[in-house]
Amino acid sequence: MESLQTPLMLVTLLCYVSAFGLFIYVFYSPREKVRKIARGINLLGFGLTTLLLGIRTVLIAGLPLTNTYEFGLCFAWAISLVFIIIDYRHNLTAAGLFVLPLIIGLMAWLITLDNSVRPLMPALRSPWLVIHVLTAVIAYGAFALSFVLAIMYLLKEKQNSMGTESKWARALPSLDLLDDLSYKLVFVGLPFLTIMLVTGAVWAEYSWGSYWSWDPKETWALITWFIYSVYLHVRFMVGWKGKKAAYLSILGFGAVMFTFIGVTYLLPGLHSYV
Amino acid sequence: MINGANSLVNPGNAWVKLKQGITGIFFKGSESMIKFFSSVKLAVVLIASLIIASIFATLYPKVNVFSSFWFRGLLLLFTLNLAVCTFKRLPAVWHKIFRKGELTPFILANSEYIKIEDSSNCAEKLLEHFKGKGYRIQTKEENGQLFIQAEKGFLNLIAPHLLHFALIVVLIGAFLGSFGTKGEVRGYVGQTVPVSNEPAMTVKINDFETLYDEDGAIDNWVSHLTLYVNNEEVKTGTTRVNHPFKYKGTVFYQSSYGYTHVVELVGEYNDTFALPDQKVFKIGDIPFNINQVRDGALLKIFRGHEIVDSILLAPGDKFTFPNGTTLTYLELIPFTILSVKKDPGTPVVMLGFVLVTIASTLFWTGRYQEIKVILDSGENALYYRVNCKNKTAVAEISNEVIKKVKGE
Repeated sequence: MESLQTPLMLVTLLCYVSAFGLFIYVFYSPREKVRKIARGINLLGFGLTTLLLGIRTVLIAGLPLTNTYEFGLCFAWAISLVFIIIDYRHNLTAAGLFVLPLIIGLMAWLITLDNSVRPLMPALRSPWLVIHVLTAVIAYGAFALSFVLAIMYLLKEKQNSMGTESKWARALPSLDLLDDLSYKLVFVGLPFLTIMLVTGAVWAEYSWGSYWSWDPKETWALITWFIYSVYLHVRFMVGWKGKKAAYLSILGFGAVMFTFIGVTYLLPGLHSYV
Repeated sequence: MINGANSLVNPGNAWVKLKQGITGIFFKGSESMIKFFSSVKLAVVLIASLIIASIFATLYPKVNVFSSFWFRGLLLLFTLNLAVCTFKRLPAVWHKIFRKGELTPFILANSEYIKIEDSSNCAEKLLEHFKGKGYRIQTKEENGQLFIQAEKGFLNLIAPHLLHFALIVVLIGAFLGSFGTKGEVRGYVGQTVPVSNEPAMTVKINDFETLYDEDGAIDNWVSHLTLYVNNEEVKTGTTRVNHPFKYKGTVFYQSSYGYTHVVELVGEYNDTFALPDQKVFKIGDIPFNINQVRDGALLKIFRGHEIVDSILLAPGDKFTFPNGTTLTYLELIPFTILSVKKDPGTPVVMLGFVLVTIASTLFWTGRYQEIKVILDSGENALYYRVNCKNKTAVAEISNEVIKKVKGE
């Protein structure tokens, strides 16, 4: 079953790439039938990502949350899920144009990683692992979509300010909806990020003998938390909405990606396994 | 002159004025301090500074940032900022949640307006609707006007304040942690060794073992200990990764381990030696080492970097090298290294973490909603306003109110 992973990932990637192609087609010539097919293929991609996670669960006899490959797969799954929910509730197919490159990039990178099954190191054999990593997955999934909506907001805003009635302006939903959804996703994601930090700290106290070590991964997770905290504070207390909020959401997601990928490759520390 | 005479005639008055002046200056001073420390701008500036400092620290790990005086100063300012913000808003939140007694009539500026036909019927319908939706209702009738205030979502209202309070608790705990100590215990199985940061404590290392799971992978490392305080036995137990050994605030963590192999050599050398695990030695020109594996001590013979022979040794087993030297394996002595921590702040930090988690979950409870209604029987009109940070909820609640009032 281990050897099934890479071919299945390629098929999944192909699904997402096809869905992306169809979303572009729908964008240029809106046809309801093609939109449905694009959604269907995207859903298939999500289903295959779920299957990949299922296979991994069987292979490692536990939830697949123990290394960069598994976390990355969960992250792609979460982004895909949040996109499907938002598209279903708000008819936001246009978001696919921005979400899918993110998922495709992530999947393409994951294919290059080692996906062989290795025994779990003793420090990771703890019930804290599940809640710590699962909350990170949910938070990151929400932040990814908030980021995508923020980019869509800025694009639409730019089109509006230019006063041209372009395809972009027609295809993208209202600025109010984009801003509100982007904010709501931060509002949902931040408590999860908070719980991720806290559970990580409690676990570190049992495992490393210190609830906080200023390890690069935890420091960058804290930086991410600070950015999104500022987002909510300036939104509620100073009234930063729209453009300013969109920039902060983009900055926050930049910190998310650096915590996940940048720190792993550039700033080694105690979190050497993820 | 007259002023002077006045103050001489009435010294008490001057004293009161002076006192008022001083209090005024102090009050104004403390008021502006509170204003300064409770501002969101300060919070944003402090957080931005903490972000920049943290980024710098991770990029230049050799520069001592996190334990520096200025970084701790930033954290102190941040704590003060959090504390002032939290405690300044506490009375208002407290009042909102535990508001009791009669409702004070209010004015609704920029409120919505609906024309009604029967105000008493309308009031009944609205109150029933609010009750059914789980709102806390307060009413007051005055001058032909019925004031209704309906609220729910108090847990959500508490969430940010509890989170701020919890963060203060964590930061206080972290500060208390600076009065803690860190140390180490290292020794061979069978030895009684001191605890470097606790002079009264000694630890007897009863045993050390590596545990394996059913797939043969390392599951954990366990040290079996007996702790003595002033030479009196106080606790016996184990420490393993993720399950430290604790005694009255002193915690022992499994940090590292190793093995020493005791062998007797006859031939080239005639003595008993303690060989560290995996360290390469030579007999004649033959390099070898002994490596403790799951099944026992594995003697490896090398040619260059290549292993040419490997033999599993049990106590009493012999191996003869090409030059005639005989190695007799005598025994394995494991050693363990434990890191020791005594941190008076940890329980406080953990309490803070529990509160942070509770506060975080409260954010997902329903948003705080406040509906204020004035039913004017004279004008046959209803004025209302919905306060909620969720715009969609405001629209939904408004629609419900309109529907109820219009009897739809």
